[in-house]
Amino acid sequence: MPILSVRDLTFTYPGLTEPTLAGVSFDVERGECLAIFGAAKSTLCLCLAGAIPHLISGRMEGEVIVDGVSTRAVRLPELATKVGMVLQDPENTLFNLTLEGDVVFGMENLGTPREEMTARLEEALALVGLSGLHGRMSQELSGGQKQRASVAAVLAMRPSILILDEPTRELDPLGTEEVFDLLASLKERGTTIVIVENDPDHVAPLADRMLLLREGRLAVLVPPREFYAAVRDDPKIRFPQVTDLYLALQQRAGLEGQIPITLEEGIAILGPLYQPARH
Amino acid sequence: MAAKAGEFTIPLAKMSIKPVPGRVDSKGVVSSIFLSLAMIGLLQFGERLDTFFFGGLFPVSGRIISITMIGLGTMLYGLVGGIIVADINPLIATATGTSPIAPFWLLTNAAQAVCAWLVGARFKNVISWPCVVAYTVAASLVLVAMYIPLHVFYFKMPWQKMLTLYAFQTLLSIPVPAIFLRGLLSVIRNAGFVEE
Amino acid sequence: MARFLYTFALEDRSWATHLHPMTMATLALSVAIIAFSTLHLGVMGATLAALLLFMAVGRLPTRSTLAPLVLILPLCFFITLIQTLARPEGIVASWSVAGREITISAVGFILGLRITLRVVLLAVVLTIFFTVVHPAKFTKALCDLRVPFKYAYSFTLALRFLPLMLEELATIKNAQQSRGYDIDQRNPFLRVFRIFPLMVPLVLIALRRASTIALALDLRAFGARPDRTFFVDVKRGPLDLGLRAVGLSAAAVVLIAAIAGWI
Repeated sequence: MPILSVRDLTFTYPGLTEPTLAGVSFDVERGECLAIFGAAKSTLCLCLAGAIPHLISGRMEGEVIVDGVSTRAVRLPELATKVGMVLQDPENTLFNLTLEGDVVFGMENLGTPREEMTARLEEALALVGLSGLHGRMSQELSGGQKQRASVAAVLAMRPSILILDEPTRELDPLGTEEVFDLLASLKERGTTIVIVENDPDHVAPLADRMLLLREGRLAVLVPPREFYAAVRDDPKIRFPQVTDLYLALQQRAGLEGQIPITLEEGIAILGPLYQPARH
Repeated sequence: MAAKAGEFTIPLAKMSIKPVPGRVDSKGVVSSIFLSLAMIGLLQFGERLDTFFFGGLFPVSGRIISITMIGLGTMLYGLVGGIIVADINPLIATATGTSPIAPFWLLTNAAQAVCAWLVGARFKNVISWPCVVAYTVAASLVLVAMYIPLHVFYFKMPWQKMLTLYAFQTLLSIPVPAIFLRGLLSVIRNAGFVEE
Repeated sequence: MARFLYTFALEDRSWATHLHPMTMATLALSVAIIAFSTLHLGVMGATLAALLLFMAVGRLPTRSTLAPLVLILPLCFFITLIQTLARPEGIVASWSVAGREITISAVGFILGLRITLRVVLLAVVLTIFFTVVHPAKFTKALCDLRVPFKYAYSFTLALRFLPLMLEELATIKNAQQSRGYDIDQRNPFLRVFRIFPLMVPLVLIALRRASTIALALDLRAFGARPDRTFFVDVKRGPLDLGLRAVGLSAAAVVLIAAIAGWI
């Protein structure tokens, strides 16, 4: 059974006549990483996390089923143990004065016993590479550390699915690397990840499938290589640099073969074509 | 009961609920806290003026900003929201060392929230001059009435000799906050923070 | 990053930070009762000495704890000045200026100093309170008193985001400056009347950020259950009981003595 099922999801914000999401349906398997692109991706994430319909008003039709439970049928706190969401700006998701306070916050809200909180705190901090920084003031963390702390705070609640909405938007390149290294290790551990991210060089190697929304409808849902082949003419989609180069060469020079999505693949595929000039 | 078209009732952030307690969900509480923090930031601009007026015994800028922001918080989020705006401010000011005797203002600030609620509840349109002026008049007079016992019993001030200063303070704390508050409420309405 | 009073409590460098928050609240209340009950120099002096002793024994950082008192110096000066000029008794000098009599009262001057000491007492005990009390423990203590968590937590949330809001204000000021509006160039006494161009964007930013933070809080099950657990532990020990007893007894004695007219 898929860990996440979306069935005919349609959502219209108050005051609008056109739906922002229209008839979206897809499944996500346990341990999979799904990347979402296009307009209304944040709205889709809010539906997956249960923020719509519990917190954000509007007209929602269809169903989102998380780990066997419909998001409409349970309260948001119960959903928090099944799906955790990390927002764009980590400054808005670290509410406490210390890192420790932030990581345990969700567990406290759920009534987790203290002994269990201690164990999960250590585990979450170790997972994100912030062990030993319990007493550090949240404000003193770097951007990458803050975002990792946000992930730790969500992971401590042991959700089945992790949703990240542009987690590296506010980060510098170093912070971005840290976050994606973390996501890669989480994926290796079998965490199901749904990510909205505009950094194709990092997302492409991570994602198992990529989903494109056009005018609120599901337009493409395929693995990365097929995705980039399918959307090659879409000016709104950013490509990994190596993929962009390959597709351009494919178009102009008639290259054939597998589309590279990482630098290593690019070197392997395009490297043999390069012949330095001899003087 | 939802407000009719053209009506803007307290709490503006969710007009279908009653002003007491008002909007006290996460959004209401957190927004009130942030308005209080905004108030702390704005208060620093009038510090010199208040220091000039007898070391803060007769604050003018503090009065203007507190009447404006507490009124805003109450009209947006209801009485509880207004009290949060009013009373988080002195606690945080003391905790951060910016004003060690700020807890004096816990009651006087809360009184402004109560004024805003009592006055605002009587208007079908709080984003209007009659409402904001009525509130600033009420708040200013209530503050004078509360400050006199504070000055007399705590600071042992001869209140009869302070009447001119009370009058000057009150004269400024009616029109200026009214103008600020009216402007803020209009901007907030246009920015989409008002909900049915 | 600015160092606020509560940073000391977070660093956990003193036995005083292990006291129950309600113990500190009781001590603050006791000092407030004493300060409001009497202007007796000996009583107030002894209370101030006790507070300074607490600071010394508790190894509180003297400089950062007492630094905020500088802010009340103008208030203290004016209180003393007004009393000196306004009191009709104990006049030691007087002269006429533009038809009005100006008098200097020795009684007023002493009274002014006593009231100043009263203000200082309250300021010192409040700064000690916020230096020693861990915000998370304060939240827990309030919840133990049946204050709903979402209100008890307001204090921590406000402390957390104050630096951010001050940064936002600085950014707004710079942005307005780049558009030709410079509040720093204005007469420092008239600044508040021209504050609107800073006020509006600050309020809008505050409300927008609050919306996002509220969403994030709810996604972490904020307010999910009234019987939430707490990671911080707040225990009451023998020292807490002893300090509370001493504080309340002293306050009671002073209050009774003041009412009876003995001091």
